[in-house]
Amino acid sequence: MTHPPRDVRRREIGGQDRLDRRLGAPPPPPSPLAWLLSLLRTRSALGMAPSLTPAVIFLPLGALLGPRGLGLLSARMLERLDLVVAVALTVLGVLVGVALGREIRSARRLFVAASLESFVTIVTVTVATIYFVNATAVPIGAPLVVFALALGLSASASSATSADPDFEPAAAVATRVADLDDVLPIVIAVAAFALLPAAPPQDLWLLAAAPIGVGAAVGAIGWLLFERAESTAERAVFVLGALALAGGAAAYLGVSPLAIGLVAGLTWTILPGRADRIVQDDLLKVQHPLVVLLLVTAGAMATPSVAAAWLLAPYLLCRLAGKTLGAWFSARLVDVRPADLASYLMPPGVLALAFALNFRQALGGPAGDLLLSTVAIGTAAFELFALAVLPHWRRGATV
Amino acid sequence: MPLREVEEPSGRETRLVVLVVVVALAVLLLLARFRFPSADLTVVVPAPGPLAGLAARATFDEMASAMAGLADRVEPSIAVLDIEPVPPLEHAAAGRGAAPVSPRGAPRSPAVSPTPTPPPPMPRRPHVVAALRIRSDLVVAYVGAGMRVATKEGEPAAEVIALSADPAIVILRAFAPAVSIAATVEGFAGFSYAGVVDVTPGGPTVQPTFVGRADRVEVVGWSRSLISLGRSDIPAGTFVFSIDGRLIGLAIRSGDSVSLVPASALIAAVADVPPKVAGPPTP
Repeated sequence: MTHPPRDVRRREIGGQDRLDRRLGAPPPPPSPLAWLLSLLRTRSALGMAPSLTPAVIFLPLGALLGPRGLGLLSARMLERLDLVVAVALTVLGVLVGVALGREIRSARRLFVAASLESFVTIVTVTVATIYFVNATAVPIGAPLVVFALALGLSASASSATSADPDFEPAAAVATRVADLDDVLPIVIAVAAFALLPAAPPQDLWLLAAAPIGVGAAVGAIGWLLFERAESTAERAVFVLGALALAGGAAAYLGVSPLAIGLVAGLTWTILPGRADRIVQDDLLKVQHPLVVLLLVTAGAMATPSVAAAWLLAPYLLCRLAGKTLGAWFSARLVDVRPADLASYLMPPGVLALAFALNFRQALGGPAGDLLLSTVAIGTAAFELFALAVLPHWRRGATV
Repeated sequence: MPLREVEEPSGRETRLVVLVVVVALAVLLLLARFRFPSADLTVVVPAPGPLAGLAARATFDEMASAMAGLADRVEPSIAVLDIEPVPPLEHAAAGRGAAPVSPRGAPRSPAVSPTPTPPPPMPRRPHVVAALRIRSDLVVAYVGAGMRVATKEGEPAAEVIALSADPAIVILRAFAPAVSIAATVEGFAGFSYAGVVDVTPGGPTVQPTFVGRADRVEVVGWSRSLISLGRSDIPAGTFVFSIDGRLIGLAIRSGDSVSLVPASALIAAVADVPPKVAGPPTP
């Protein structure tokens, strides 16, 4: 199994950039107090080191700054940020597409394993949510199947940030699985958008074809422009312009920006030339601020409610069960211990919030807020769970 | 470690999976036995799309969109009520007999403005008016002088209660439409756009209007002041709502103009109507 270039891995958050690689990975803390103090390290808080994910820091920070806290991020400002969120989701989709384009040629078995693990998680959380909402009569304010599917897609995301792939072989495999297990949820999200009540039946073909058409068009535009830029600044303008075009088109058409970004990233990787490397190099510069933006925005938009607390039960329990079961099935395909694979895939990362933000824009109203709140609280809970409990699952983990 | 040397998932792994799945299912089934405490979702205007704030739209498009949204919000609380002229003999008997419900509070002092002149008669032919669910078991409608709620053949007559403050307003004990009004406007000051909700034989409809000056007037018989609009283009018997779906009041004829019975006055007027007590079960 060939290994992809190192900078492909962990492309979403916590990934090491050039500065991290020069400085080297920090040693693990020797005592509980030192471990606690390490949580406050700047590099960890910004996601530059694998010991802490930024969700634990920036989700509560967003809630504090948001309309229900200090009010520094007002409701009006959050409405303006909706378009920026759409562009940010497109960027995440591009990163997934680039990873898919590189891995699919050399590691089809890995892709199948990742999709299988993701599928099991989606089905588990979706079915559990449908049963739970029917049994408890939680008011969700949206079609139950769509809402449950949106929750299931958010639950399927993984970030594999709890260990450095350079030090643990199983982590290297898990990181690649985490990169690829976002593809199936993005594809299913395209179908989920067609089930939304606001989607006119006569436009279903548009909702299905638009991500492919627009993504391919943006991909073609970027492929023609990126390598012909005469300077680094001009190239950056072209890259950001293409991403803004993709995000804006997604917002205008009401389709998933993640899907458009996936197709665009895949196009840049498949087509000859260096468009994929150019995009990746330029996106590395904005990767961390983008993640911080998404997390703070999600924290500010989250609306704690009794209904969100009730929905945490199927989300937390069945995501745990789904990831464990999915890893048990997939581990056979990638020759990794199921417990190791499950533990690395447990942290949801920013992709879970990306799905939730995407569906919040589509569902709108109380249903969208309810979905985002549930996923935000669940994400923070799973990140803490991954830090505190999961290392004990792994056999022979370094301490 | 060569990947080929990793053994098949061992008993430990399988036990871990089974334990996690069984515990998760058990806890989920246990929590599913509890019902969510019932709570109504608040009426929320759907969040606009990401580009809504950037796109320039014509003012009329926004008004049309606002009216359509208002119609969707109020339709569950509005019913079409058939009314018919009262036969002359019945009209005379009704004037001698009934004991209508009085609104709360004593009549206002003589310093209040005089009782408005009787409104001109409504069209003396069967037609439809809007009825609003004001309480879980009551609907209110303005039928006008000389009119009554029509009785449909084969259906039992609805219990009708007239208001002493204005006999042209009736309260019916009915259980349709299904949704009571969610919110009302307190202290309406005018100079804002509103939606006038009327009905056609096919169902409710909404017309936009701009309400200018709105003065408070005290009227004998009402425990709360009415809102004088000084205009007659709002049809009597229609319900006036704010753009965001809150009830402002019921339009009634007041001389040559139209006044609004504020939502608070309507609610206070029906407060004295006792809820229907379930009778003994029929054998």
